[in-house]
Amino acid sequence: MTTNSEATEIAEAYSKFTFKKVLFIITSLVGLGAMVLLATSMGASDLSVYDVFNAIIARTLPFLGIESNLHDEIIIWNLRFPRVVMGVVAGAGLAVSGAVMQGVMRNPLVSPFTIGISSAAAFGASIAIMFGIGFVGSGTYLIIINAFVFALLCAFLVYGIAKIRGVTPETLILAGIALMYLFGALTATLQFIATEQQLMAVIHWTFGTLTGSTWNEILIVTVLFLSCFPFLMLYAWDLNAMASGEEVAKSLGVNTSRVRTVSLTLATLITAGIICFTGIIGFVCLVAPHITRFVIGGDHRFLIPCSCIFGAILLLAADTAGRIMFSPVIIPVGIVISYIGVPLFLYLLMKIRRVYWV
Amino acid sequence: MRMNTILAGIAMGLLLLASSAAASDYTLGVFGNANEDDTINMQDVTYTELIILEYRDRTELADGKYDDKINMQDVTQIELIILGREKELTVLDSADRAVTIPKPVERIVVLWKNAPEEIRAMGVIDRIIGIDTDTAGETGYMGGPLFFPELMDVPVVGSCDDPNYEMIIDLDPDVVIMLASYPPLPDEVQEILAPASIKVVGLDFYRVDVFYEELATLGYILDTEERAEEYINFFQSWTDRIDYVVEDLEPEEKKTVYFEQVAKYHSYGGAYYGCGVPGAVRAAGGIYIYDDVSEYGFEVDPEDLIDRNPDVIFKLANVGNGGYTLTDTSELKEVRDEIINRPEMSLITAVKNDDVYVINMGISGGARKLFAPVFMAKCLYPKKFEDLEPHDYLKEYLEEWQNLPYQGVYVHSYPPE
Repeated sequence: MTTNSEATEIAEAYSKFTFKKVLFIITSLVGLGAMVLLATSMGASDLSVYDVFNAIIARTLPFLGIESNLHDEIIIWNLRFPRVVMGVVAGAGLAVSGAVMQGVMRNPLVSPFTIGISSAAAFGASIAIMFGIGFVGSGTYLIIINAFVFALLCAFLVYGIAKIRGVTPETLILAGIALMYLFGALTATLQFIATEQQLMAVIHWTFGTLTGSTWNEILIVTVLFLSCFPFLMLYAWDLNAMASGEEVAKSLGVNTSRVRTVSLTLATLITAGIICFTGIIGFVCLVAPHITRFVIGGDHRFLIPCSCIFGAILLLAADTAGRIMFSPVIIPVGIVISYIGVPLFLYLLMKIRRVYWV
Repeated sequence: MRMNTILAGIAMGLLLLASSAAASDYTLGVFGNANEDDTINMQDVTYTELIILEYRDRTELADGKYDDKINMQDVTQIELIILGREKELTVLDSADRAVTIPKPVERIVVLWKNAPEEIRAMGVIDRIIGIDTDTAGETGYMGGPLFFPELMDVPVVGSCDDPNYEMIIDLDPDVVIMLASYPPLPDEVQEILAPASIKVVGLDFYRVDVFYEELATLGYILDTEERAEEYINFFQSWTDRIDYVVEDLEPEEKKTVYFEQVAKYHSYGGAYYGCGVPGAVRAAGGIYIYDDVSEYGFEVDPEDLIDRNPDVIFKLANVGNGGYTLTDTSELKEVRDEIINRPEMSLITAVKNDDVYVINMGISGGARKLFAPVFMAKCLYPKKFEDLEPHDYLKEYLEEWQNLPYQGVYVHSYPPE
């Protein structure tokens, strides 16, 4: 009798706990919606909320007959919206990559950048900038493709090296850090021989920016993200099991090696797909999952989607602040995100007493 | 006493002459230029004597010997400079440093590619005994000679960021010429080379506002003063042609200009002198739209650009060795097409009126900054400059002053309608 009552209490507590998390997801989604509206309505061009609304409706629901002018429509549909949408998708993608990698490696310091992806992408972009056909047209795509290919190449090298010694968190992290330094040195060598203009282009690329995002790029990034995301969600239970330790997970029937390889590959794919278009926006990978973990705990079934939402909010907020603060000068989002993310992260670190990493 | 009276009499007689010489376009930064005009001549001798006699206030450059005293030794030094027989020369470089150089200067190490271009224009490129990696990169191209064929066998002494001091000391130059405000700074390099008695001078040769001063100073360092004067006259003869027209432009006639760097939506700030691009636009009679921004280079908010709505867009390109090895406009056209095909650009007057010009580095970067205003003026006000052909300017420069064959493609679309 007593046992049944305890079980009921536990079930109720669990339902309550789950309900809180679902509520948090819904609240975050509303917050993201508000942030999207805010980001879309703010900018250097003096458009009222009414103008923005008209420009959106005129294209999405043309049968309503609401009129807007070409100027407003171009500002909204060609400049602000692509930027906002890319911010949401990139923020979500980078955050989910970080959350998964931290879970798989059982290490709070890990992000896609720890295994050298950013350094490799920067090296790929630098090669294209310095030895490519040019900086625009075919040149732009050369930079994107180079960055993507080198990011993947680095990840495969890391996995390949780790495979020889066994795909454990330690081998992955150490191989990743070694390659990060190698690609860092290669990029530095290129910068050393670069001309003034080339050096400036390389540095701008490494800052990371959402300027110039196009709908085609957004489509590619979104398709890539949406293709990988469900698979990562499928591994949420396995990641939870792995959080209790390698042996526990194995005893529960989890093929840890496969989970690690597949989820890392997917996370790498998402990250490479994003940063090849935006340049290096690193911090969101590390900070968004941690902040989410502080608030809702380490259950990957909730952590993964919540990190996505929070990453999107964080990146969008940083980009909007970077656009507005010193207009007409845009401060690259890769810089601003640290100014916004670090205080928030430190505040939660001091405030929340739960410990997720031991 | 009697001697003093005679001296004073002569001096008073020359006073008017000395005063009138002070109104020049630039100040020659050489100690001995007592009246602070653009040259050193007998007027400076007179001027220094007037300072000694306390008829004139002391000027910074009057101290020809650079010993913090104004006396007859300075007069002698100025006379020696005029005769070209001075043992030492103190110059004020672009980092605002007074540097005393042993004369004559026969052995030079350069740490940036602008300096060898100007040294060649002075006719003494054979005095360069060490070059940096950037200069070395422009000696040859695809196996053939490029800008500096004369320097192909000259030793490379490291990069401008990280010079190889051991090599420089081994080469034992009289002087090292380097950028004035790019790290390592001239003072830092001088400190390391001082024990070897090697002097370091910071001269940029890319800032339009001090270009003539730097050329004139270089002329005095190399004992090629007359050549430097002719060279400055060559530039001025072209810039004067646009100055006369630009001066007469009514404010409402002036066109607004957006200048984009090689990177998309990146421009230069114009509040400070920076890289010289805003100054070049102003010299061409344009209104630089980011005059209020203080950053050297920055990412532009496209929305703001649409609001500022420039009349003309200049886009910087760096293709084909600044344009020198290009044979057609295809690559520049590709750059131009990218700009005009950005959907948001359709809102900008410059794109609507087809006033978008791609300017290659060969007429706008580094030592070629003085060409940009002339090319820009032609693009901005084609009707007012119907008879002006900037390519002739570049041709004369390359053939007459640089001993290079005229070739390349530097601007597109061109000529403007």
